Amino acid sequence: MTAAKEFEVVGKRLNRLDGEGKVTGAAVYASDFALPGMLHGKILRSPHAHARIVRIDTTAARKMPGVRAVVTGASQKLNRFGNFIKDFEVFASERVYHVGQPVAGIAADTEYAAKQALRAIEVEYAELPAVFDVMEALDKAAPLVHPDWQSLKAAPIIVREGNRCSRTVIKVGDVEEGFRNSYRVYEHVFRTSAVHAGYTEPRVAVAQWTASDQATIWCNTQLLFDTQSTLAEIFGISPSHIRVIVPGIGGGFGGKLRLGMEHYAMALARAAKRPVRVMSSSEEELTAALFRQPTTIELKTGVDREGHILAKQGRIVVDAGACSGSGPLVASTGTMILAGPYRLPNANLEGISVYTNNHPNGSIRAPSGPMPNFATESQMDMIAEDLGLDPLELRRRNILREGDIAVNGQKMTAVGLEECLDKAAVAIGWDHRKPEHNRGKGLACGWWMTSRGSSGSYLKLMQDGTLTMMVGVVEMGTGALTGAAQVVAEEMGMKLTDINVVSADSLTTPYDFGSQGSRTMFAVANASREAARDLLGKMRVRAAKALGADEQALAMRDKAFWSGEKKITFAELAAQANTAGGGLIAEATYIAPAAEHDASRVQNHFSPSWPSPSFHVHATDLSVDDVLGEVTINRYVVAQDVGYAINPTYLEGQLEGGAVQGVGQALSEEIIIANGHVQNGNLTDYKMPTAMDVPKIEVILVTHPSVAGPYGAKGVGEPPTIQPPAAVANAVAAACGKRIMHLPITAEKILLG
Amino acid sequence: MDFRLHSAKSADHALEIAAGLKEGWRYVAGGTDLVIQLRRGVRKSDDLIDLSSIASMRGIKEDESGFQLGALCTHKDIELHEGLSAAYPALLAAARVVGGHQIRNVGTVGGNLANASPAADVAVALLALDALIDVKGRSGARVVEIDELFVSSSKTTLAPGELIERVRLPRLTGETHSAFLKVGRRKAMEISVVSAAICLAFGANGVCEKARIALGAVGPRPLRAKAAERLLEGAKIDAELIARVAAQARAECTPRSDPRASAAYRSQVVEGLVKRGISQCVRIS
Repeated sequence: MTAAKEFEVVGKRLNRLDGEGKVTGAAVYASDFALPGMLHGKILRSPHAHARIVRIDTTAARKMPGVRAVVTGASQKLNRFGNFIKDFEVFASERVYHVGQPVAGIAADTEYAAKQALRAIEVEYAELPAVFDVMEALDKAAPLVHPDWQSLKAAPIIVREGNRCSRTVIKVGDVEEGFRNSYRVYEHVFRTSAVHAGYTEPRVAVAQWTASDQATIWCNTQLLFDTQSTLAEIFGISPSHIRVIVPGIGGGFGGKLRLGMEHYAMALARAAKRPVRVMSSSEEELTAALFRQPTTIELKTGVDREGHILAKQGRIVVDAGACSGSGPLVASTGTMILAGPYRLPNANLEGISVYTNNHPNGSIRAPSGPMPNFATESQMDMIAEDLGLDPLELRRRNILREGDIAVNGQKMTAVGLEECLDKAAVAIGWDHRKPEHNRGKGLACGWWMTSRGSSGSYLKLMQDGTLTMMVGVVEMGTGALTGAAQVVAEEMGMKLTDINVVSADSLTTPYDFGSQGSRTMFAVANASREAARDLLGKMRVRAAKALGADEQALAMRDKAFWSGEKKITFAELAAQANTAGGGLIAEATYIAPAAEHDASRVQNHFSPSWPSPSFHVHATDLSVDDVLGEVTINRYVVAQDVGYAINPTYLEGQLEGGAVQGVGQALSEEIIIANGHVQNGNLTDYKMPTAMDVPKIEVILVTHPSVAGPYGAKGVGEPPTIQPPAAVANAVAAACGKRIMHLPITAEKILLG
Repeated sequence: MDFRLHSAKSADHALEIAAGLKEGWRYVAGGTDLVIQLRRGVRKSDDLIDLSSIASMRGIKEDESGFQLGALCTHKDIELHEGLSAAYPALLAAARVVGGHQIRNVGTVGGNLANASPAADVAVALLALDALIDVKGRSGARVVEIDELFVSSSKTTLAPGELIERVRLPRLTGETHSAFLKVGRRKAMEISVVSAAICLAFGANGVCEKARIALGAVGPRPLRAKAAERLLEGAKIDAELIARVAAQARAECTPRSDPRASAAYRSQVVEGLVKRGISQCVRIS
């Protein structure tokens, strides 16, 4: 947008409003929060993947020093919960169906006392047959993870059959016909592993019951209102009787979307009649958090002689674990990523999620992104190689351009993909793709959406002429609320530092869909901008009256309204309004319009339209050590169509951080699970990349403005995590000829694969 | 994790405390591995004897015979000691890749040896450098050759109660070169999947007079590939010999598969590391 020059606040690299406190350590996080008389809770977890609970005896534990309450599945009547299927229990009632499943909880004077007392709980189990492999779980003869699956309440969109807990299909044209007309047909199977979200602060909650049916929870969830309604459902009380407050959150990355410790803290606090804090240990994080689902992806693509895709058939099989969680959503949205940002005349893409006796999984940053993108973009390079085409050229021949119809029937607008492709290729030096022995370059394309969901904003003009903005999201480190405040400041003719942000309290802030789906800044800024316009109107009316001038004739500058040489400042207006009654307040809500799509193409799809789509290309230059198999990334380029950069600094931070997270998934991160047991459940053996493992991420911002976005912005947070596995896999193949089909791409797979 | 912590004022005091305790006690210095094992419940100890305030076990001294490292020397002390790191490049290379900075500021050389992890980086380097270990027990002091120290994972030949007081490194004479290399899943804060330390001494005629090949995480203890060493000693080193030596070293390993890597990978990589390590030493000479 060339118009950016005339803006005073948006588009500027201004410091974050929450920056000083976070840099100096003054900021309070949920894990810092404490109440007088607070107890500490610990969870006893199942050592078995599938077993019947024969007997639980808590007598000895109750007598241990400092123990104030013990809770089991039998001692409190708690309802089942789950985002799409009610298949989670707070504490196991009759059976355990995964290792690490909570069986009992203890609240004690100290964390140490609670931990000691856990050992005194006697549980007798009778082991049952379990299933760990998704393909085996789909077999009719496999043991059912939930034999009672038909009686578990589920959302209408969920299509279930035994261990299969969802199925989504996108169908276009006739794939069989497409394959028959193809010059070549390629079939491959790809696999990806479970990974942890990698937030710094473990999940934590402090719960306090303020009446027999009222409680307040201080925690580090990303979703205030989903947490509120889920807790209300579990405890059978009214949502408005549950107040959720996030004092601060040390990273989320999707791993804190769903309940973490809140329900355990609440159950224990109710039993102990005291506030209770529960925080997961790093070992619990790496064995019992909500991981990114492992997937198996089958992909069959037919092309003509020139490499144009004629037909694509694929299936993403998502290992949901023992409870469906986000599995159905991941499988569903995964079909769009399997299609990719390409023109597909014929397609048949299926996403299914499957119960196993593995640990339940969740939604990590771009929940269904990296896995199918790894499959699709790896296969694009394999096709290019087989056809003797440059992988860049193959993509050019198939990518979506302005006005093209995507796989879901949606007409694409503001498509910055080709520009991303061109700029990334130039930046990485694509003309010299294999600059030396064991060194190569790879790239990957991707697309993603800006999730919908409602946001609200309350604004009030303060007596000092500043503005307070109250919103129901959590600033989880992305700078989203600084971005939204920049938009408000721009509208109001204020400085960014004139905006006071209040957030993350379910009682006092308006409803919000939450900090997720690359939509936080997008939706909150749009709602707040609307509210700001309303507030300005009210201010203008008062100013006109005070100055005895016509509203339309008033000029606004330097936080004042002017009529010739006469002025009234915002501060004076606020003071006057407060005295005269009412004050100056405004509110607005926003929900992004749904993008039009062809409903006949999709079955049971959770997000069939792709609102304000974003487009991205990653390119990397790396070396492979042919003796050790080790990969060294020399350069890494991210080109992303962001629509418009409200604050380029934090936007770049998102793209850099996302790429690093993606490189971790590409090369080193993996929750290793054998028979339902995590083998590397500690930070010694779960390998997130260090500063030594990633180079400087080179960011290129491409701006094809979204009509719906504030100043044309698109959602940006999730996309950079999507492409790294494919880009790295393609570069590894270019460097040493090894094609790795199973993430992560370890040195061992490169050397022995 | 529940234990009594006994603070020792001197080596003799530590021995005296140990003599009065029931079995299951442990010495602790940096505690970088022991504390984790206690926390995870892998190991249980009712009593820990804290050696960290014994002044005589600190510091690095140099004399004509070589260097003496107090057992309480941290990895960072080694890394920052100019004379030591110049004399033994393999030791410097190993010390600077143990964990992260925080671990290196706390973890000690004595602990790295006594803990007897087959993957210990500094222990593997010291093994290639023929370190001598000064050990003290109730019955007196003795000197243990480092190759005689390790038995198997977390087992040493130290008698109950004996502690490591210092590590002595003989001065390297003439044309001697050493190297340390390791492989892991990432480039820092990493436990070795395989490591190799090589030390080669050359005569005036360029013939290798003495060879040491020490290997980590490819057997139950840090081990020496002695048959491979013998192939080098008395020989002029060329590419063909390096390949044979590396293959021989590989044959002397008995790696295991674990979540960090498979035996097959370790086996292949140890050969590559030995080849690379020897080449590094030869190139310098």
